Amino acid sequence: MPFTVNALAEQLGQMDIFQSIPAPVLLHLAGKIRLEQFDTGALVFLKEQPGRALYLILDGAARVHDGDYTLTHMHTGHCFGEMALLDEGPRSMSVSATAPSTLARIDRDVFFDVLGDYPDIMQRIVSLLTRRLRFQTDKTLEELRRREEKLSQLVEERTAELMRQMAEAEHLREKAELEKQEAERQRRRAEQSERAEQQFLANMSHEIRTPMNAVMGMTNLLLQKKPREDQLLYLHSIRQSSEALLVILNDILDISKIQAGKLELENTGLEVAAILEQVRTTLQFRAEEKGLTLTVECDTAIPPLLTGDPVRLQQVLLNLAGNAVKFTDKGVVMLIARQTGLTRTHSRLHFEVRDTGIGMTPEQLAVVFESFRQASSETTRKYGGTGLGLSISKQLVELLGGSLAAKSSPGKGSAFWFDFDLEIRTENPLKKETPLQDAAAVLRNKRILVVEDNPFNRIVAVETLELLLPGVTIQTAEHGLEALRLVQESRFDVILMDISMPVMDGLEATQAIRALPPPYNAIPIIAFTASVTKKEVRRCLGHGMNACIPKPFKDAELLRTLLAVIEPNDTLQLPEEPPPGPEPPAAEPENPIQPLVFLEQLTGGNILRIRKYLGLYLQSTTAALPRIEAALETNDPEELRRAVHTLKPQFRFLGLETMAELAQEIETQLLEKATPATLSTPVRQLIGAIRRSVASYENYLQA
Amino acid sequence: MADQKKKIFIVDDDNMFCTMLSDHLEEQGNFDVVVFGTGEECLERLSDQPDAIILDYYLDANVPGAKNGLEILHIIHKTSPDLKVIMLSAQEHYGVALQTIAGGAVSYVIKDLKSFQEIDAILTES
Repeated sequence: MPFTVNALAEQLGQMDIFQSIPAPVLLHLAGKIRLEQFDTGALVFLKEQPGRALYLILDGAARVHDGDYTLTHMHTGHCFGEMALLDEGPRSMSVSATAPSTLARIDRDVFFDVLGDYPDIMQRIVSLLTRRLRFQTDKTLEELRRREEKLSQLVEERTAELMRQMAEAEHLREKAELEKQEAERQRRRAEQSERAEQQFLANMSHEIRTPMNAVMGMTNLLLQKKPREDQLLYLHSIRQSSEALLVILNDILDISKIQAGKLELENTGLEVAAILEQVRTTLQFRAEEKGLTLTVECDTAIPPLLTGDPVRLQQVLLNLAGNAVKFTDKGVVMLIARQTGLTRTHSRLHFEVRDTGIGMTPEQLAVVFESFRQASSETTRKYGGTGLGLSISKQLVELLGGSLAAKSSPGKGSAFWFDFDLEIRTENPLKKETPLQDAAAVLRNKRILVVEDNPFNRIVAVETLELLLPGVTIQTAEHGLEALRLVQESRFDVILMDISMPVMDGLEATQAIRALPPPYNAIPIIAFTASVTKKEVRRCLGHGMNACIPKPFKDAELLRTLLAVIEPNDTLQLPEEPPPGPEPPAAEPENPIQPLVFLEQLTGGNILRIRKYLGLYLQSTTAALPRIEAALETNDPEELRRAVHTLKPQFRFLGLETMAELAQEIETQLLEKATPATLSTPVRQLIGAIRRSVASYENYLQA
Repeated sequence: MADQKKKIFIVDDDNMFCTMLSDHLEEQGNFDVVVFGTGEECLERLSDQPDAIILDYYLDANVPGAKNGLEILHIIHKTSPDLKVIMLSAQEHYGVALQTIAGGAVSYVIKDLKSFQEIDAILTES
């Protein structure tokens, strides 16, 4: 609405800021004021623009804001832009209309021109400005605080979200870790059971071979003692059965070794012609018995000496040719070796076994290489066998670097063949061995020490040697320590040494003998062991042994090994007076102190530690003796077992083997429900032995 | 790392054997050995997180009613399935050996002249 100058002057006069300004001055001012109209939302001026005027709201409303937040709301009668009167610099805020408004604009020059002589108004302007600035500052601070709060809230929210995500990630990681651990656990479990299985097989090998050795050895001994006709028949049956059992055992051990990846191939000199000849010799008799012709065809172009594993190659050929003989009733079995390629370093060989036997159907042929499979269950009944032979042969051929193939037609026969390369050896062919018939002559009058803890095997070894080598002198020892003493007392040309023995095993005994002064340390030693793995052989040789023969041993192998280690015409020369060696152990029964071999070895000869352990032995026996006696008194088997149990290993560590065995026997009897009353004699024996041992160790410790 | 030693618990009521084994292991310099007379005492200290436990089978020689090694093995295996436990026995008994292996023991060692070497081999294996 239009204002008249008079009406404007009157309105100015009502405003606080113009109090005490005379009316004519206001009228003069009103004449110089410009009126401006603004619609809702229209901008009056913008922050950062230069300010040159003071505004009065004549009608309407406005909002002062700092860009994005409102500092204050203004209404009719208010003024703004005071800063522009003091300083022409850029404005510190923006103003926009919040309703249709009429503003009076008083330019800076006009203001000072008209009102310059009135200090009151200047003072009011300054105080207004101060108030406004303070207000503005408060408002800004408040806004800042608000924003800060909002920000920290935002930060909290974001942090929480992040934590959640991290927790989730952690959870996933933990889950993955758990899964990994579980997989690891399963892997370890599998390894453990594999190890247990291998341990089991190794044990079985040992456990079965040892008694087999006794059975086969004693059967052979009896056969040589002119048995009656009927006894001869039985003995032959025993021999055949045990040989068959040994074949099955070897098959099972072979297949498990192959499957466990434990079978190591040799890399030594290999003569193809000799291997074929060996197979022929082995099967000749069986073939002739069945009226079969067994032919061997060996390509003369094959180099005489190659590098490979003759034992395994022979095993495969013997298996294939053996099967051929087994499944052929008339006609021919052919064993063929041909050279099909030759380079400067290698010869390519083709081996084939053909027969005119019963043959197989395609279905039978398809499964013939699988373990425990035979062409039919009828085959097992009629022909026997484990069904492992072909599976072993196939895997052996693969280890040798070839692959075993077969073709067959029922009623016409079968053929099996394989090809592989072998390296050619340029050195001289293998040294010809002394014929075994001459062995007896060479080995006559030798002195042999047999060290073996198992009494049956000891008898077998001694009697076999006596039969094979008339005139040899044989002495025996039950364990390594006894052997160590004997070699220093008498002269021996060779020692046959078992490996696992009580008191001192074969490896320790060998080391001890090798540590003796010459000439004792040079005696050839042959390991005589149930485990025949390559690792075991290496272990024996590593401990100073000269050779290894497996139990049960074959006569020829025993002779060959004996010949190989004994240098003929170079027997051991002993000096007249034996040099001072370690003193033999005291033999008085009252003094059970055995040489503390084990403790010396364990502690590296540390006397202080040995004394400490003896002290602990005295402690435990002092505690155990009254308990043993009381248990005997009250006939309490459980208490007796508990009291004896701990002592047994202690006896062993001190070399008190007889006492350890006694304790073992008592414990075994108790576990089998014997009562202390029935065990009174061995228990009293043990008590006596413990007392004697305590007395002598006490003396030893005081010395 | 300053402390690379493996922590080994031996649980056996045979004082002489414990001492011999503990001396033998500590002498090698790679092991910290703690010895317990019963399985129950060992269980209380499982939180010390040993690297391996060598556990005797019969543990009741001095404390009648003490849990035997197999029971302790089961408890250990339940709480710390990855812990390596070597079972010891003075008795060579295949059935017991199988039971302990099935119960999660890594090996079954007979207390005899070879046991020290065997334990060395098992401990240095991993």
